[in-house]
Amino acid sequence: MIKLSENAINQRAPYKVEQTGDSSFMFETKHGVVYSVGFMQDVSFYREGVYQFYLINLSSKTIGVDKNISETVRVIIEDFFTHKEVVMLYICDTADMRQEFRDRLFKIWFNTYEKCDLYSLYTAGMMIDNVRYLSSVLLRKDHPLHNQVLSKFHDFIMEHNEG
Amino acid sequence: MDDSVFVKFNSEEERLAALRKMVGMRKIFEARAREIYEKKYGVSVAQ
Repeated sequence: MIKLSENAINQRAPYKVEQTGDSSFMFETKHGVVYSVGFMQDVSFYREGVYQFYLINLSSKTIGVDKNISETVRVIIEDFFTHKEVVMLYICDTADMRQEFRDRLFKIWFNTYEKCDLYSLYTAGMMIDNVRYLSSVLLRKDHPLHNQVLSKFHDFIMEHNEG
Repeated sequence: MDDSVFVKFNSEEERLAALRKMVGMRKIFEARAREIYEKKYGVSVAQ
C-alpha cells in the first residue's frame, strides 16, 4: 500500500484534510458537507500499483459549486502521483444513473488541469448486469509500464464487451 | 515484456467476476467511510 502525506496535502489544499488511513482522508467544506476521499488497491487486472479512487459525499446535502472541493481533491491526487509507478482507476458512481454526467465532470476537470500533459487518461464503458459503467485509468506518462497498462486495461474491458 | 503482473483470464466467467468485483468496490469504500465517520462524530451519516 502507498502512504499519502497529510502534512504535504494540508500545506496546499484549501480545505484541511484529516487522514483516516494510509491513503484515505476526510474533509469538511465551509458549508458543512463532509467528504471521504482516497484510494484502495485494486487487483482486478494488474497486480501491482492500481488504486481505485473514490470521492464520497457523506452528508445528505449538496450546496452548489464549490471550487475548493475540486482543488482539495486535486492536491490529494497530486500527492498520489508523487509515486511514479501507480495507476489511478476511477469508476463513476452509478447512483441516480448519472454516471455519464460524472464522467463528463471528471474529464472537464482533467482537461483543464494545468499539468494534464504529464498524464494519460483512458476511459471505457461496459455493461455489467444491465448497468452501464464508465471506468477510467489515469497514470503518469513516465510510468514504466505505461503502454502495457493501457493496453491490458483496454483488453480487460473490451474483450468483455465483445464477449 | 514481463506479463506476470497482469491478471490472466481463462474464461469470460473469470473476467466477468473480476469486473463485478471492480465495480462493486464502491460499496466497500462507502461502508468504511461511514464507519469512520460514525466513530469520529458518534452519529450516523445519512444513507
